[in-house]
Amino acid sequence: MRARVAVFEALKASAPSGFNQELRHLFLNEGADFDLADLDMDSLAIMEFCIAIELSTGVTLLPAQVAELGSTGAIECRIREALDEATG
Amino acid sequence: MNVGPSTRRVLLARPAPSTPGRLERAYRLYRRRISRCRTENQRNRVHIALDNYMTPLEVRYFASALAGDPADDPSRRWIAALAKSMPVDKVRPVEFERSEVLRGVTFYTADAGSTDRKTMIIGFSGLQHRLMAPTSWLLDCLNPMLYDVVVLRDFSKLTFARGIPGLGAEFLEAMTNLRSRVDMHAYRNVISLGTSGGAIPALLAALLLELNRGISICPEDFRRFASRLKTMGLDDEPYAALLTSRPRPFPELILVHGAERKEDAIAASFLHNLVPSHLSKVKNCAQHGVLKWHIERGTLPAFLARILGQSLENRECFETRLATTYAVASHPRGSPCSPIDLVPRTTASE
Repeated sequence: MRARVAVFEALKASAPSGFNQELRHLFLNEGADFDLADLDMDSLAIMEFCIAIELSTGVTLLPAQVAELGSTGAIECRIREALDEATG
Repeated sequence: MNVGPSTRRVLLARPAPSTPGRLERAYRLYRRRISRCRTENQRNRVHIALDNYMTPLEVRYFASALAGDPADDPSRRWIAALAKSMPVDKVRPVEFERSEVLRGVTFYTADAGSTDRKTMIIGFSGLQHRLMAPTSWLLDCLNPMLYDVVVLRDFSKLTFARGIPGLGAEFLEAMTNLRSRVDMHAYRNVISLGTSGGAIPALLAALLLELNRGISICPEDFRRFASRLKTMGLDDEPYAALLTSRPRPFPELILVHGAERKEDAIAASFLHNLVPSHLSKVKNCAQHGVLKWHIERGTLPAFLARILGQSLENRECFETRLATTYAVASHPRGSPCSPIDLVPRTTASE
């Protein structure tokens, strides 16, 4: 849950126009997964996204990694794994 | 008090000149700050913040200072990319200087040119604290002899609804106090320009402050804007009333959006039906970041000149004030105006 909330908040901060109200609702209430390409995220938005994730979770994801992961679900999964590793 | 044009310029503090010593201190501060960064994200955070504030002169100084670093050094790569994408990339006889008036108010001016021949641009940044592009790229397009720029930033990320600390606790109060800080009448023209989250505030400011022109680039849906005010416990009525007000002379209002971006088109059309305005569709653009789209095509200077309605460089074009180009009375509330096409030209020399 912590990873999903972190992704939600980071998307809100970094992609305010692409991650619109409708998508936010689907993400929070319907468990939706989105491709980053559908969220209108340019290179700056991806940088901002990574910064927000690192600040809120301590997990370092680099812009290149995020672009490669490609979807919110894959990113959430990677964060969850990193958090699990950190807590043993 | 009778004061000359050069001293009555504005009530904002004039920046200290960017002497080599001052630039070098800023550069050393940057090196110290960046040396403490442990991750790429921490470095990116510093660089994004600098992108939002630096002047073209500062960019060139940093680029020169970092030129001796290894080619793959993150600092050198960052500044090289920033410097390389300057739309005009012209060293000028006088350069913009930067002054942090308040935390959310940055003033860019050059100690040259008389204010009554200058245009003041009041920029309302979006949620990323920039006007869709690094500030140096926009300043690079403007002749400092002819333009002053104030960039307003809302660190609460509430599209200025909670005002700007030091200016006012809500938007209307902040704008009223901005008027007391900027001598609008000293300038030949005053234009508000807002992007994304700052686009509706720019429109409202043009009406409230009775500016010559208000440019709103990719505004959000006004219904969502009003709804957010309500959820914050603020009254949306003064904002709606401002949009339906018809001050005389009426500022020329321009709503810009990417023609191929449906959500932005709907939002702009809704605003267009509320207030007499030009609806300007950027053909073939499917992005929200319209200014970045133009930078990528080398058309930013030409596009800026068109939406500002005046040359960015030539003094000869500044002999007259901007005039409202259509009578408000003939375009009553809800009456759409003719759209103007803003197709990028191949030349970027305006």
